[in-house]
Amino acid sequence: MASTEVINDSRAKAWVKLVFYCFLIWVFGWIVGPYIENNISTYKQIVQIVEERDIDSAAYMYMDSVGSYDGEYYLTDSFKHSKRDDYGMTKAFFAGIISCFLILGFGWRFIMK
Amino acid sequence: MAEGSGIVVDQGKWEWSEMWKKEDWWAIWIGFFLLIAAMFVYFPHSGEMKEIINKAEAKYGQAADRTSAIKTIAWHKLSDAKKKAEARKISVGKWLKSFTGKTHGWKDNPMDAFFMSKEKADAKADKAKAKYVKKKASEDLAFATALAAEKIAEAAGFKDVAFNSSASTAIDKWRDAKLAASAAKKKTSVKPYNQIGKLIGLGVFFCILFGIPLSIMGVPFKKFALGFVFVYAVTVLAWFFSNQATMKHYGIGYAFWAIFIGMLISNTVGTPKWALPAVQTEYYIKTGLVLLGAKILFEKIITIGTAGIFVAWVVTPTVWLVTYWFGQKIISMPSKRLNAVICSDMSVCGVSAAIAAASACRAKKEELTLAVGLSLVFTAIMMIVMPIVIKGTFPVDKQMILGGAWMGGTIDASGAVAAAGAFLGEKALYVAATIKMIQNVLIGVIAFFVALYFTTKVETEETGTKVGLMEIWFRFPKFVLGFMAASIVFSMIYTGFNSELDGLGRAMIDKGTISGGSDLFRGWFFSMSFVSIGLATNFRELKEHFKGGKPLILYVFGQSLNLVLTLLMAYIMFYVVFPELTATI
Repeated sequence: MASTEVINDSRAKAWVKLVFYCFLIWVFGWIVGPYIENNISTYKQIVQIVEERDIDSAAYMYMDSVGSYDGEYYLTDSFKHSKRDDYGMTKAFFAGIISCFLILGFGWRFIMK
Repeated sequence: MAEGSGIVVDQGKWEWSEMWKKEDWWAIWIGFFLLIAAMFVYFPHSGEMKEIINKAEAKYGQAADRTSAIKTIAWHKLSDAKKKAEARKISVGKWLKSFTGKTHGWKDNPMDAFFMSKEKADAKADKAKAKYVKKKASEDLAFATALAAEKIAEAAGFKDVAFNSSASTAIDKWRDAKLAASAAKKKTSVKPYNQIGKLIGLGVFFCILFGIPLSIMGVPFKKFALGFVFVYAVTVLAWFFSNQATMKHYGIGYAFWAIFIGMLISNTVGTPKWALPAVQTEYYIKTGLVLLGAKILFEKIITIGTAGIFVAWVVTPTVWLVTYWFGQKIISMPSKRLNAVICSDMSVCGVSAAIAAASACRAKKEELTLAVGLSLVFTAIMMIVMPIVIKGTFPVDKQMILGGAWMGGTIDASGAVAAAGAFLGEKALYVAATIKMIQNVLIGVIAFFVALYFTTKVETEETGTKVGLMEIWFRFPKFVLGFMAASIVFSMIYTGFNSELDGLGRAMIDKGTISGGSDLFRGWFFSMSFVSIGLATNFRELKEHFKGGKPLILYVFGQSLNLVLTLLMAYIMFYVVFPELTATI
């Protein structure tokens, strides 16, 4: 009987903890969070831009973010439009890619021993 | 057991049955099943996409080409018209998007996440219309100014620098106004929805998709299905919180909520035992990673040109290696795996790189949780601080490109990069997001590098035996091969489409098979894996990994180095080595 009471007691404590943490989420989401947003001017501006442009500021991958597609399109077209010969698969461009693998190779050989 | 050593030696032997008995292989099969299904849906529509692109070229091409001195209004119109070619806009694509949709955005009323009546949708649309009218008027005004400025520049044959400059400024202002108006217009098309039925249907689909292979691997389907109800419900709850307006503003996304809610349950009332058969972290994560591979398209690295490749592809591995060395030699991180995962999320691209590296080196779930947590905290801080620093200290003419490249190369998460970039302006947003994008392509390289390093060096050291080629093959995480295969195959298809017609790759792959197919599932799979991590994580164990604050020291060191090197490299490349190319952006 006593052990059942102990189990019930710790169970009740666990639920109280869970409810308390949920309360903390509510406090952040509805009181602290909006307060910071409204009182730090830069944050307020960023929030406004995020809302206006519908940016998913919580996105983890480039494809989840609107700017990546538009940016890629804008930049590619900008370079093509300029008709410059130092854009594209140039020697310097390949040097950048090869450098990446050389650095990794160097690291493999000397740093990650 | 090796004789006399007391060390367990995992001597592997390849068996063909692994291909249907191991989750690594099933991750590949499920991932490719979804990718091939998406190709079947979208590829037959390439003709329609070609038509849209060709029509745009016919309408604006000639006018857009009349000068290369500035980006004219016609050039922008051509770009906008070509962007309308998106395979995912076909009716099946729209249905797929709606069926696989997460909970909707909401602010005060939680019911808005699942359901919206027609009356409420109409009221919202009306409210948005009023805002749109204002934005549209600003856009029209900005357009008239841009048109007038362009005419003056054109009258001088686009040869007068001052006229060209004022035309460019006016056109840029029009573009900003147009962006704001387009976003406002989107909000006027609010439609009523009821997501509940779709969420249930999607849950059933996922249960079958993962449950049948698991039953082949030995987990009874009934037990998995019962547990999956719980895991899926928590996943929906994670999306529900991440789509709340305030949480979105702070960039607190699904990864945080999934781990947090999972941990909250497991460390208070406890994860129910009957849910455990569906707590399959690795299985969901690897399947998501194979889908992620399809969007690592190599052709994209050319987008930002030579300057950008040096910023993203030279600084990133340097920072990764130096930080790893710092972790091992200076602060003596007890876990090489945690060291590698933190290096990856801090130097490459946050959560997605952490997931890939953690799976590639077989890190513990607590290690991934810790790395993701650090990344999320610093992302939220940097998203606010960096634009302020750039605005306050950078010369005005360098804020957009140098500032954008700096933020793109250092802030971990793409969404935060976009938000911080947009704060500075359209050009900064584009540069920042593109640098982040080409850095994302490095995930594949880093994941392969980490997998190879841990298989051939670290695990050899741990077991005390040298391994042969067969042993490397046996130990190598096979899903990495699926990830890389998806990347290579889709890169080839993407390039193939683009060589057929410029822009077709974007329409068919980026905005078709990937965003209209694999992306719809990937987010769900990652969130289910994070929920599983949370449900299986003990807070005390997590604290153990944080002992002495070493992970924090490691992250701060690496990120500081990243900030310095990225800024330096961006300045040298964009303004010293390739200033003329930079001027064309």
